[in-house]
Amino acid sequence: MKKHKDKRTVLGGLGVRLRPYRGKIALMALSFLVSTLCDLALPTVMSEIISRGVNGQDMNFIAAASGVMLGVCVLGVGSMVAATYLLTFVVNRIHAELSREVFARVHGMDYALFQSMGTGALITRSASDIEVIGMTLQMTLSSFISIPVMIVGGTALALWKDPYLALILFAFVPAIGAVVFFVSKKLRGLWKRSNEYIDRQNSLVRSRLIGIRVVRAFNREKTEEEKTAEATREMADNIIRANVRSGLISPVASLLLNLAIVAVIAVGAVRMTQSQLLTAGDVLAVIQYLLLIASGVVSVFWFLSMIPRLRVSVNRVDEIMTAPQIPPAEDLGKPPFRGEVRCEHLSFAYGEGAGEALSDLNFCVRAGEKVAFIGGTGAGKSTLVRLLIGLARPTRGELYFDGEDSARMSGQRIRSNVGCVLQRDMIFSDTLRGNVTAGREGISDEEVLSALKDAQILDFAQKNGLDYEIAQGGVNLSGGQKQRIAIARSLIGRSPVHIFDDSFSALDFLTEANMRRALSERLKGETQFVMTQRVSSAMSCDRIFVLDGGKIVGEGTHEELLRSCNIYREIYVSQTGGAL
Amino acid sequence: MKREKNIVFRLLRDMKPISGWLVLVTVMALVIIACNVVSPLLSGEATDILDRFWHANAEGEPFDIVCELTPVLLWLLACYLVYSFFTWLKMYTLNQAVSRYFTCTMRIRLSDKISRLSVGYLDGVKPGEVLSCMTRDVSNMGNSVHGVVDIVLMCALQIVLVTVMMFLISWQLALAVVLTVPLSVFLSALLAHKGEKYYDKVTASWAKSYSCIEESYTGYATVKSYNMEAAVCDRYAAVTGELFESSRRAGFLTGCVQPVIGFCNNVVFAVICLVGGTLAFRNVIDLAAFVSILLYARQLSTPLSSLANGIAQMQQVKSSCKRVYGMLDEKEMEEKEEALPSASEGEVRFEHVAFSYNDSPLITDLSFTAKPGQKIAIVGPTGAGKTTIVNLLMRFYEPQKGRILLDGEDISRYSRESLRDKFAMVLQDTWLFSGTIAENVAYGKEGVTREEIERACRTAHCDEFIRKMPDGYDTVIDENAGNLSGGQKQLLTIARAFLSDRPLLILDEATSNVDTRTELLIQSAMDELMKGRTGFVIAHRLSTIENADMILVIDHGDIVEVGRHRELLDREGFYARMYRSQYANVTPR
Repeated sequence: MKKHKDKRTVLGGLGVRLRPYRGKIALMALSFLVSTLCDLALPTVMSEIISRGVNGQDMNFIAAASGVMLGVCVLGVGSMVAATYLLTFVVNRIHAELSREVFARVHGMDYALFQSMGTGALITRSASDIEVIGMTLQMTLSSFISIPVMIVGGTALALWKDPYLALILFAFVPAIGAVVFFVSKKLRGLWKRSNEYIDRQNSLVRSRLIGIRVVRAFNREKTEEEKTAEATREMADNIIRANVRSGLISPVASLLLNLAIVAVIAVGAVRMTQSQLLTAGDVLAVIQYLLLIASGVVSVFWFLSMIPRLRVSVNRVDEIMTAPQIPPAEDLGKPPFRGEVRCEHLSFAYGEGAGEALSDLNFCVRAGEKVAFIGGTGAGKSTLVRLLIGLARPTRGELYFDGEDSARMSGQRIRSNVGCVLQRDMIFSDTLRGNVTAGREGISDEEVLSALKDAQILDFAQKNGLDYEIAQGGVNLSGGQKQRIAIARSLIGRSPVHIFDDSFSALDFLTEANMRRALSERLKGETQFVMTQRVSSAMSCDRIFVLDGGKIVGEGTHEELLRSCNIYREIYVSQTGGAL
Repeated sequence: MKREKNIVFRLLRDMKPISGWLVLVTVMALVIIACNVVSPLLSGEATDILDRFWHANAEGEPFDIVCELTPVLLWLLACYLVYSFFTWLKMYTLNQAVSRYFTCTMRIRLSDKISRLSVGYLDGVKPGEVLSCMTRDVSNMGNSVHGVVDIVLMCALQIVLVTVMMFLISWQLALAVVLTVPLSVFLSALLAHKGEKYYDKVTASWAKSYSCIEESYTGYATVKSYNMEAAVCDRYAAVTGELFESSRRAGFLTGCVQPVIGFCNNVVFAVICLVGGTLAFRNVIDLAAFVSILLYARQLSTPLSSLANGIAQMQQVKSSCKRVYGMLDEKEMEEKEEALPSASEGEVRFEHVAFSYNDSPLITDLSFTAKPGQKIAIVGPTGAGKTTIVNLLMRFYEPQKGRILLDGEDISRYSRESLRDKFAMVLQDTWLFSGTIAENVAYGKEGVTREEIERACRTAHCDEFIRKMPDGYDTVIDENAGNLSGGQKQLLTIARAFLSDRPLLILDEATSNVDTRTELLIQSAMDELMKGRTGFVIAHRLSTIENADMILVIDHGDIVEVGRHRELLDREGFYARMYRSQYANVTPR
């Protein structure tokens, strides 16, 4: 429970979050109170109409009481509408604030922490977990006044009418609540199961559609059809099971409620033999109270059955809220790098106990030099990129920019000096212009177009315009187009150091050759790192480093390495068949 | 308009197989309604007995309460029991009928349809659309069956019966109710309709905010590398601001529906109290009638508002039906009965073939001959039409002009199945399904032994790594085959091609993400596979095709050069330029 004292957590910070709205919340609570009292008043007035009006032969009373009833109705609906207005305002506001805060905190995390929490998990937390919290907040705020008042007031009124009749309420109402509680608790598992089967059928059909050429080539449509049919039947079984269980709530709850009504009438009759004070109108009123209380209790138990899920969501969001944040950068005003990059005994491991992804790297790249790092998957190229742009920090050894130790620089400063095209660089759902400028301000269309030109994608930009809307995930672009837009983005603004991480893999050879020519013109005098698997991309560089298993196993020009480095020669032979 | 009618008619026709069930459900529904109609009468009667008992007590007259009340209460009890039991039974039966015999059948019909649709059609639709058609749209159709029974039948019948009963009891009170109840229905329908508009906005802005989260998290490294954190947060704040505004409005409107319905019910309640109280006062009606009508009025408002909801829901069903029937009506491939002769030399000839995916022509006039046992390499820049040749050869697509001959026979005159039986294919996008490794390798041939599978894997150099896996050949490959590297997947598909042992072969080379050692393995496995077969190789790396018998250089869909490697280099044309750009040191230093 100590955890909730932490003001950063969802529950601990709830007070702080609600404070700005305390006036609205107080008004809302008052409105809910009024509307609940109105709900309770109606059966009471009605029973008076029967007892005093009809039985007491008082026509004036009937008219007056009906007028009162109408007035109560108007007051009830008026306060309810006001309460709903305030409720939706406050809840949605807090929901929006909470989502923004979580979002900002995720983006303020360290890259390693982000990776260890996982993209998928963080998306769930930022979207559906907050959704659950918002929903619960809405339920809580809307019922923290009305439900207790409804239950307590209804019970009090029933006791006032007749204590023995009220006893029936105590017997039946909790039973109804319990049924709702247990069935809905069970249901969650069943729905989850049935969703799993829906997913299974979906992924089967999806895989079949994606592999349609293979399926057809091997004439296996029949097998696929049978598999789908089987999965569909299983899915139907599970859906039926969940539906049938959830369909149980309503008949059982209404049966219990109806039994209670019969019991009230029967006990009412018995009580009337003993007491002159109880009238038929009173019995009717108790039945109405019963209905009101039952609906209140049902929502309480429904809420209780939600708590486990709420707790999971709150804990997951709290993990984000309490996660450490990168301190704000204070060294952004310092002059830009000249472009010299030096490593001394640089090593890196993903987490403790994991093997070293990079070990004991030593190199010095002069300002304006163009170097390549060549190696297969798992050689450590992408890890090196992360270190060079400050997304990860060396486990051992040092990385210097212009002789200054990068350990004393903020990641933001490093990244504002080192431009990088990542291996799987994201293309955002934004305009073409927005993707190239990437949130940097004051960039003219000329600059954007010149970057697009050097990235060999000017024809596309001219055909579609800079306002071309790119769909999410860049689905309306080919792999090569995405890669070229990412390259154009990195060319905007002057970075003293450039990194291209496998950035030409989706380009055909002619385009790559043209791009290389344009880049060497544009980036003259700036340091370049080319991370690649292709000899053809590496051979034009001033120096080539051969990475294998996280170590540098060769260094030199293309010709030198062909003579001196076995691994380089192997790569070369596999890619060229030994020609030239 | 006529089309819409057709859709409704067709939906009803598709419900025919479950019509027996529906009749059964209807009978149950009638029982439930009967209970609904009878129980207020009985409760009214019980209240009246209590009231008469009170009066008798007050005036000191004898009144046998037990004798009077017991039968009424027992009937009431029975009525409630029957009601609950039949509600459950109806729900159970309807669920079984709809989910097992309607939606399940519908989904299997769609699945069958997929297998008869052309690759061209399936290339044009997103898998997500087909999936949502199979799951969501079909379940909407299933809901419409529930809707027809629950809403049209139950609600309509109940409304009619309850109204009739009220008029029978007291026409004055009934009139008062009938005049006030529709008010609540109208108001709630109005609010719901208004809210719906906002809900569309909520859905749209929710999707926007979700995609903002999704892409900025998936592209986390990109966001960081451009120091875009603040820009991304600003954008998200704007999106959530929109979401806040629309969900506040939608939430308010729908939040008002319940209170407004409640209000209207209460007004009805008050009106009944006034009119009923007056009538009872004048002894026009007794207390039983008064109470019964009070309860009937409550029974009237619920079905009326669900009827209004149901009609709105039907609109949604209609668009779902349109999509489902649209897919079922899609043109199927024409299939010839006759099979190609089973023995095959392996000679392939393209004769003046022309083809385009859309209006702009891709292949205009393509002719070449591949002799049996030859290795044909197809090279050219991205988008030149290399894959199209495979699409035509395998008849995933049909040429618009010209013909393709296999051993001198026009392939379009025979069944696709018999044609595909002659080819083995290894594609660049390796496709493995979730199942064991052995099942995946055996995909190309039915009824193979474990022995044969292992032999194929040994030839394709994948035996070694398969044995190193936890369950060997029985290792289950998960959906994304995350437990295998790109190169290993490629080797498995080569083993699959080996096992299927077809006279002709299509190979699409992998481009990247394969380490050097695996690449050499793949190369040697492919060479092995090629032996004694007519092979078509789509080459991305020119080094692998130097020993090809014929190289087709494709640009803009047409052959620009043909020949062997050396000849083409000597010609100093397109091929030579491509080759140089791959290897020459282009940057002048």
